[in-house]
Amino acid sequence: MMKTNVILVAIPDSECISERLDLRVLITRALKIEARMEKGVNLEDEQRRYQIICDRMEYLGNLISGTKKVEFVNLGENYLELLMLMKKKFPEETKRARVMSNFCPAALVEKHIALFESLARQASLLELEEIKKKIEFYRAAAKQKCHVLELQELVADEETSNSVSFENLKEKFLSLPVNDGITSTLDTNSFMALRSQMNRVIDEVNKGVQTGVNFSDLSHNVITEMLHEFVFGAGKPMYLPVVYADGTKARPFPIHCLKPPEKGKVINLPGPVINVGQLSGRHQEMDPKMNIYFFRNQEISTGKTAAEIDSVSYLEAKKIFERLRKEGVYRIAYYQTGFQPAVVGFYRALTEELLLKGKKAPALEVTPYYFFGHYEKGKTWI
Amino acid sequence: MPTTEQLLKGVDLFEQHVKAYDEEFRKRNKLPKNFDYRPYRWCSRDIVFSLLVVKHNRKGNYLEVDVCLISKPPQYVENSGARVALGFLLSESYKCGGSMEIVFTPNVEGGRVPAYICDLAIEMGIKLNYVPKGHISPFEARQLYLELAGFSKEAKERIMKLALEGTISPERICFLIMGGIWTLPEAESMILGSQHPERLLQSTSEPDERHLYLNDLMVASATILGGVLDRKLLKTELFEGGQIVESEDEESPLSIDFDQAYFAKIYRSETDLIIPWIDENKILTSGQQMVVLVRARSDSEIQKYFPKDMSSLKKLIAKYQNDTQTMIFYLIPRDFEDVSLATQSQIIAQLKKVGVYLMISPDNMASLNKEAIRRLETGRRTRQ
Repeated sequence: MMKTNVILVAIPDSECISERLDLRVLITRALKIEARMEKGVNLEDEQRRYQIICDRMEYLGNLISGTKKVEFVNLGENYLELLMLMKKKFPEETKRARVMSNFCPAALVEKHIALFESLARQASLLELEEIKKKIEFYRAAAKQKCHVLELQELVADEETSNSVSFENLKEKFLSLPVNDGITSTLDTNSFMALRSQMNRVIDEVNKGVQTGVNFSDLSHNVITEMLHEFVFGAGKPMYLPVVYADGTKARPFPIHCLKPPEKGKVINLPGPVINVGQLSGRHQEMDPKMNIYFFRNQEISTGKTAAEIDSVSYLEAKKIFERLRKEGVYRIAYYQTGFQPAVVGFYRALTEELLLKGKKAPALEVTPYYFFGHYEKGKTWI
Repeated sequence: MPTTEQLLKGVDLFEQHVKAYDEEFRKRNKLPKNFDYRPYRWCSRDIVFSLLVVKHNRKGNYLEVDVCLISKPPQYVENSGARVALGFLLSESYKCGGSMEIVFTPNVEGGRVPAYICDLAIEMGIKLNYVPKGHISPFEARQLYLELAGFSKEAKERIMKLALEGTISPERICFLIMGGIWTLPEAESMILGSQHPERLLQSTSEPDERHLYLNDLMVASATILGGVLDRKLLKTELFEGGQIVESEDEESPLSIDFDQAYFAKIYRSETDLIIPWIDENKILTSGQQMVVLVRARSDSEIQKYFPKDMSSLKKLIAKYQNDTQTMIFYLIPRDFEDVSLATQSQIIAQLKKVGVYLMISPDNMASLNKEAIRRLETGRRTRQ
């Protein structure tokens, strides 16, 4: 099995140039790309550029460390595993501290190692040899005003052990919870079919079976009405796994988590109803009726996977709801036109927004209107 | 085995589906959705292996099969038609995001699981519990898929361990192979040769997490380098109409194993094969074995890490020295040509001294990395 050694190389300004490549220029470019990647604009192009620049830096690092007299230290095969552990425990902080980065400009060495040390302490990794070595090396590099490159080398680990017998393993594998039942093929309407699919998935989740509700290819009114039923329905609060027909897996959907208004009790929020279309630029015949559109088509229809569209819609909707919350009470007539991942993303964000209100008086009301050439009113979310 | 009547009815129905498909999609230049019936004909040259019509059943979240006609061409291995059909059905079921349950309509042999698929399940030692009802459950589908993919015992072990750890589903691994993103020997190289195959096979690391991404890229590039050699060795040429043509589906009878301790590939052939990319004419004779240490390295890495690779090669020689028939090779990309001539000569001399052949792939690191990025990107857009 191949394992990975991570080697730190400290490069002073005087040794930065080799084969017409200047490490400082590459570092400056890479930092600029990192800043652009943060914004998420043209991400794939930026990632491609970043890959090229990093590749050049590693090439240069190998060249300089092989031909010039520079300080280096081998952190061994376990270092990368420790970084993964750190990332698992503190994903956001690890990203902010650029722990997974392969370079550090001289000007940032001190700041980087301080952040790294604090993270290592929080993750209880500070006492490990690899971590100590890195901190020590970076401190020395800071004193010498060196840039640091973190290079990798794949090494063959010739001791591969297999201790579990194949039959034991197979037995355990076959006992993993996977549905061994079959579905009724009796014809039902779409609402009943989705209800039964969601109930089956709940059952499977409770048994620990890897599963998911597939919302693709279903009519948007069916999805919305069934989500309403399960979000406001009685049962153990839980997260429902979501998959799409392109196979991608989205964030799970919270269900059994909101209380419906008491029977017979009508909640009348103050203020006018605003007509909000789901997605701009898709059905121009709706334009005269709409006050505004919720999502901009350009932002949502990114041409990526369904799960990514779901995620973009969800995050965008969360942002909008947060803004509305600060502004006061809103009554929205939400004119829907389909596009399943955007629908699921929107209602996930809405559910979470409604959950936030807790026992406070409602401040947001969303009534879906389904567009089928004409409009059909759905159940109100409040 | 289906009756003649069932077969004829099946062919009729297939034709009806093809007509309907033409009318609804082809003529209108429209693409079908997963939930539309889609006819497929699986052939190689003039041999039909299977005729299938499938759709994703939205209400039941399963794959519905309306036509499933399977042949047993005598020129091919036992149950080859069933292998093709079942491989497609399982992959399509996975691709559509369904539960992996497969349901055969009453139009398929009266609504049962087709007899040839049952034969194949028996051959693979998997019990099907819902044959008369025409269902394959997700539990059965998982076992069928894993067997059908054809993994070695060692790779199966690792896949089962990964599934038990909950890091990756076996269905995803099988789909990546059946879907053609990685070949079986390539996938085995990653599964056995990498510390975190789940990361590679799910393409979870992003380019901005350079350490993880680079690590995956390095393993993927080495895997692809080995895969390029696989394909070169497997390729056969036929003499047709006075011209040499590449065979579409015939491959050299070559077995490919993997030594996970060294990231080395082991090839055994049943016929004589010319060994490519070496400086002399060598033939891998029938029954002989060649062990190839695969190292995807740039020119600067070749210089830097050659002593380590040499040490691995010496250990490989010691491991396989009992078999005098075994030849040892050191496979690196064309970047070797960018190494200084003096270093090149030193490397060649050292390899010669221990009896190792230097094998230089026509690909360089740039093309290997490019291909690795493409595969990781394609894998990322596959169902989790």
